[in-house]
Amino acid sequence: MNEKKDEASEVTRIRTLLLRKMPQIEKKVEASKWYAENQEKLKKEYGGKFIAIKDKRIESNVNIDKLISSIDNPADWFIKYVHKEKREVLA
Amino acid sequence: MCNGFFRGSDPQVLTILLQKEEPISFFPIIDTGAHVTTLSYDIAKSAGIDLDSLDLVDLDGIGGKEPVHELKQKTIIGFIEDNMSQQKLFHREQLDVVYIFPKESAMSDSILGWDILERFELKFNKLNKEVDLVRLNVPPETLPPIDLTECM
Repeated sequence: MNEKKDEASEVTRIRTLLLRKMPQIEKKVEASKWYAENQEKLKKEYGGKFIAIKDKRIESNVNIDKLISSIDNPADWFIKYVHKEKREVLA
Repeated sequence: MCNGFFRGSDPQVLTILLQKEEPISFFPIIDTGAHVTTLSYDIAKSAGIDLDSLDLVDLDGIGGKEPVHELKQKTIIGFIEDNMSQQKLFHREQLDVVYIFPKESAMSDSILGWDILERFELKFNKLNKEVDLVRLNVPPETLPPIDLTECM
């Protein structure tokens, strides 16, 4: 009986937390899918034009492929800092 | 069925880490060569995990032994199923131990290893950049999914 009650309250707690966070999660998914679908095109278009990641300047001799693979979610910083037209996705 | 996608050659899926009060969303790499699930340093910090209090253990990897933090604590991670009928479900998976790459690790991505992947049928279609995860009826018994649609 107590276990069922605990599970019910845990479900309610998780649902509340997730629903509160869902708009942010959906934007993150949208941005990441968009980046995944367009990354080759973007690399061609913006290769050599990357300026900064999270306010840290990128040196001009940095290999962009290595840089991208070293970041947890490139869509976040790419859209926010480089692809200004897509900023609203993460706004 | 939970859908993922490819980032370059890496299959990824939206994953939610439930730790303390704030759910953390991230995109770990589905790594069929990894035995265990390992969080990146940044994700662990975002989740408020106190890394200083955790022991370092060695995990065997392709490149030899890799030191990682070991979090011996029941941890819930989950995946969101969002199908065309507008139903949104949150599938919970429990892990008794989770590993975390230390700050100085070269690995900045989180990875989903076989401790989670063995519970799923995995479908990869790199041509179409599609990744699907379907929960299998295998132990551990799955926790009932949470319906996220009724209040939306």
